[in-house]
Amino acid sequence: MNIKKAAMTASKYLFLVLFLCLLVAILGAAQTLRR
Amino acid sequence: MKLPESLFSRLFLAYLPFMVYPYGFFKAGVAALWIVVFLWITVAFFWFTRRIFPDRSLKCAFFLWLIVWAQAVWTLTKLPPYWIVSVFFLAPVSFLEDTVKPGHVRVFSRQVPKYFFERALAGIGFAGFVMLLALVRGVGEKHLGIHAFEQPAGMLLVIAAVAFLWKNQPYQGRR
Repeated sequence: MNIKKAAMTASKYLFLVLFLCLLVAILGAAQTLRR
Repeated sequence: MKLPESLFSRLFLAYLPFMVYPYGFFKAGVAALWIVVFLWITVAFFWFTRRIFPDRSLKCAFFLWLIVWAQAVWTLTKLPPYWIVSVFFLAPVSFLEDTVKPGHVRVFSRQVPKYFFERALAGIGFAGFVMLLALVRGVGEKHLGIHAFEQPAGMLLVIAAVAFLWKNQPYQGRR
């Protein structure tokens, strides 16, 4: 049970990191497309 | 700050940035469409991912999402940088805490079309509101020659003055 909970939390934070990567990618894409 | 929940108040708040845009009917319509499309993208994205975020970081993620898109769209199109304010007012932060918890809702249940129908209606209402005010402004300025209507803020000032006078008519008494 504890392991399951820990895995859930870890995957949530992993998703947060992926989300931040997505945001950085959006900014980078906008900069590249402008040139 | 407590944001109003009623649709018209939110439409009006979302219209506030348009008051400083020197846009005609066509450009105002295009800007409103951009805002509405982005509102729908935001609502759909957070509807499906709301549960995956860690609880405390959801609101920060929402604001970061708005800021990043504001910057990206600003560099790509000619929209003014504060177009995102309209999106923010159309989708108040409380939509992140809606009573319909996605955990209790299946993807193909009836709640989902209802939820998105309300958001779609808000978007269409906003686009219609912006275009209607732009149309009124164009007609008042060009055909009726009202100089105050040259700026959107002037038009709202006139409308507000008329509404104020209408509500405060002198007491006539009963005859």
